[in-house]
Amino acid sequence: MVATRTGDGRAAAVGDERDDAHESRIARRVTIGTIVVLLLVALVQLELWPLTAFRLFSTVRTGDSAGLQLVAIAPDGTQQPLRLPGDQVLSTTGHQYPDLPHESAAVQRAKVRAWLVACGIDPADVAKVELVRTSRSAHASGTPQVTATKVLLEVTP
Amino acid sequence: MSASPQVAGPVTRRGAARRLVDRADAALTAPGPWYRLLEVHTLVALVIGLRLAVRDWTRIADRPAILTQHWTVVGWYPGAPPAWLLVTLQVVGLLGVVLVLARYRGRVGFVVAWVAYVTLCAWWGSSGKVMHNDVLTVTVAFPLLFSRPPARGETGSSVRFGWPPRAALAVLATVYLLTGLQKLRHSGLHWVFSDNMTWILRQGAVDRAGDLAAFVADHPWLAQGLAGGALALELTAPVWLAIRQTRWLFAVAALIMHTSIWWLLGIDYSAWVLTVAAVAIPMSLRPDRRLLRTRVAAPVTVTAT
Repeated sequence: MVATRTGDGRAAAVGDERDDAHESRIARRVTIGTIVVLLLVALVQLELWPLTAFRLFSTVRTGDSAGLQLVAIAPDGTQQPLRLPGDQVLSTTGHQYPDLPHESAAVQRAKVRAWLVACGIDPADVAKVELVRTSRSAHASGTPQVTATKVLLEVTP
Repeated sequence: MSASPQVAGPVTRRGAARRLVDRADAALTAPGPWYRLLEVHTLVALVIGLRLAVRDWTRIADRPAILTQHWTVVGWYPGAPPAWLLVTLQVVGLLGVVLVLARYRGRVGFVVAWVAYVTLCAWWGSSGKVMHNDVLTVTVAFPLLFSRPPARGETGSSVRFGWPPRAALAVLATVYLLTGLQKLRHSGLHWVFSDNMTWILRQGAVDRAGDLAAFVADHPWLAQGLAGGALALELTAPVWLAIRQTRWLFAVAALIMHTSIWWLLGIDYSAWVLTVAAVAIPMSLRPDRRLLRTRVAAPVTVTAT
């Protein structure tokens, strides 16, 4: 190997060999350790960002799909689906909808109020909010048809 | 000494496996030139700096605390972080990148930039959806945290300079392999040989690419070809990245794949493209060739062994 910077002969060469051995140990520990952790996390499907199972589009899509939607219902019965703001931070909070039925009543109410405010709706103007599951089916044309709707939860904000 | 036929098989297999491990170990810990570590270290830091600079991190503060999920490394933090803390982290992270670029306390600068980046990304993604946009950069940069980049005037070739870019390359290959393996695990080859890609395009295409997405979706052979190409690229990433001459080709293929995903579906994987380029392009060069020609004072070198 070619040593760096010094021309101090034998002592420098011995020091470099010791340094190389030390660096080799670090190289093995860091590389193998990182790869083993990545493999284990993927194996057990852990999601604790930045530890992730790297499931990117890993399930098969079909023409049948289902989605959850919050719908605000005014005292006069007018229905208004909640449209979350487009930015990534707020729009992705919609991924919490499936957990909503499993939360306590207080948390359900607090979350629903937060979503209403995020959508620019005054909770005082809303009689109740429904969590609606909509199933759709599409044929080869790609135009989806609603096949079923079901109210999973009602929350009074 | 001779072995009986009954034990020759396992012994031979163990010997072959041992030789493979030894070869991988020798490749990882071989000396490397100082400028290769400097190039990869600097380029990955630049990717982190770019991601830190271009995003309005204060949007995190707009997310109500009740809607903040805690399945991240910053899950211990109660509620939503205030805007001043987010901006402070952004500035501190960018200062870390500046230290790397200035080659003044570059190792510390890289660690500071990485920690700030991880923290901000973890908060950004605490909305309930697993976000992968920045996770490749974070993961590939991790081995570089343990590297000691060359100081000014320090040149030569050593194990210290050689292993970190190779470790980053190995981690990069592992991540792409895992994305492919998860598709096989959860969907099998059905992921390719079904209407899967057709429906991904029909259901997820953005307005600007509606016509192109419809065209691809209307031609199953084309949709399946796209799916097969993507899966093949992910599964063969370790091969592409193990061979120096094909590393730049992998970077080009990744660019095409992620750009087409962005164009058709609007999903931004630019950090993946940049990270692949930051590692794979310098590592595709001959060891005696630098990415950029810079004038360096001739070092005093000695041949040790």
